[in-house]
Amino acid sequence: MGIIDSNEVRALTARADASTDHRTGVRIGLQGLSKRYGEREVLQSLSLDIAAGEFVAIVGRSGCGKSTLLRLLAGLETPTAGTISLDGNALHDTHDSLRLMFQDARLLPWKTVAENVALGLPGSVRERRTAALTALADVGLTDRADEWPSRLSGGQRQRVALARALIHKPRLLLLDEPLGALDALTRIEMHALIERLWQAQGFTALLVTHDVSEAVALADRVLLIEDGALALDLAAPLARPRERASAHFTALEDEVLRRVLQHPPQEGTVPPITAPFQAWRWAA
Amino acid sequence: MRTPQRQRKADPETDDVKDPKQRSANRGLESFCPWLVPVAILASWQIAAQLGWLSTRILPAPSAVVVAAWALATSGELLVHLQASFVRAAIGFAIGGGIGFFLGLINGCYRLAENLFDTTLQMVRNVPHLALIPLVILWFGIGEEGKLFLVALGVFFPVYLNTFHGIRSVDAALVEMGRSYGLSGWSLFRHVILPGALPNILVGVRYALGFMWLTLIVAETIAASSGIGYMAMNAREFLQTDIVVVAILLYAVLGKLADVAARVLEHRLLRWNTAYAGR
Repeated sequence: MGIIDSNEVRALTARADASTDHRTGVRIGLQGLSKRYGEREVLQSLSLDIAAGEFVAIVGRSGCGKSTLLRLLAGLETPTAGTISLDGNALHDTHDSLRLMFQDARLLPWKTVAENVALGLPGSVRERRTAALTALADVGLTDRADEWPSRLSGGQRQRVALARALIHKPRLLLLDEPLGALDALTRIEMHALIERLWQAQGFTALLVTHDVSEAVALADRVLLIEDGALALDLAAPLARPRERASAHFTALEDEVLRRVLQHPPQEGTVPPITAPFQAWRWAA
Repeated sequence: MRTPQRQRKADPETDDVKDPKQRSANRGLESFCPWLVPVAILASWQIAAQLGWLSTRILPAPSAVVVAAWALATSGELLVHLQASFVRAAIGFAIGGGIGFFLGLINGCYRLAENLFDTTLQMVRNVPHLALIPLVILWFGIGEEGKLFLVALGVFFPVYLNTFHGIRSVDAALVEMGRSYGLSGWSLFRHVILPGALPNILVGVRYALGFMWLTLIVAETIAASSGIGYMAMNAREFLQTDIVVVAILLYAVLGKLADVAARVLEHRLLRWNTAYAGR
């Protein structure tokens, strides 16, 4: 099945560090961003600044507006009010140095894995194939380059989608709950992979997830969106690679989770929180 | 490794048997069984004809059919008629299929075109094209144009409907992904929309081939001067039932060949689809 082990990940990092192509990430500025769908106001006057190269995680309950925020940034939706600026410039339709990774891999079933990775890449067939194979090597899937996507497992497909996103060397990578459909072990390996590639390439990363543990494991900063507004902005200054069992990690996770669960869902109120809730992992 | 090796489906009844001789005997028996009934029918048909129970006016003996087919083939007549029918079918298919495909694409891709044309086309569709034969004869006379028009009309609607539906039912998630990765206009169409619509388009082609032969058979009975249908009509005048049966069999063979061609096309173009692979 091609589960990547820690040795393999370390080898990938070594190769990535040796690359001299370091591009800085994009600086994001949101000013009074609002989005309304008919009667429903999904985002209420959101203002936010994200530094270049930062890894930011956005958590929140289902329907809180976090995916909408990502889609607005990706240019798939237009805001009702407010502005989005990347490096001080206004956002045009699909900003070239921006890539979005969806919840499902969305690979074109009629193209091979290598052809999927090279989607939208300019150049001759040979050049594109070489670039695709390099990108696939970064995610550990070169041996599957000429297969149809239908033959890959869910985790492998998301890795191909990651390669497809990163082959364009984006300066901003938007991740819309990309690991939600994967099993727990694959998810942990994907965390390591995403982290290594982010450290090597230096893009700004925005991860939307409902898994608080995943947010704390990957991000420099955890944002909580509640009813379309920013409710929490917590820094996670933990050393990388993150030690999941460390006290600091657990404390951060605790804090975010408490904050998420304190606010009652729209349907009614939740009973007061009682320990132990280290067993809980999902805030949706 | 693109597709798995073609494998004969495992069947527990024949394959679980331990003895290899028994197993191959079982398989042989299994491949022979489907032919038992047709062979039996053919044999009884031959016997009935030879013993005079079946009048040649109703149905000729199989041996007579074979003899007639051989005579036609060696005299070169068969090839002439076959060619005429085939050319008519091909041209009609190209015209009707081409227009249907083009309109299906336009209406599928552009809302404005759909609003303008689709309702009209759906209304025309409800008229059975074979019912137009008297009109066609009035318009085009008894020459080739009338037959081509009928075949084209018969082919047009399956291709149009399925192309239109195919374009409309391309996965919106994939289109969104394509747009966000910088594809637009022609590149989006070429890489995402057209391949996504292809399974439906090929279904339309399959149906169209069926309609093509049906229309051709009917069209060739109206005052043709060449073609398999003409051959059959002529033979009917002279009560040559063996030639009529030859014509029927020819239509069946050609229909089967068209279907096989469609299957081959599907298999080549839709290799990536697990539903079509390995068939």
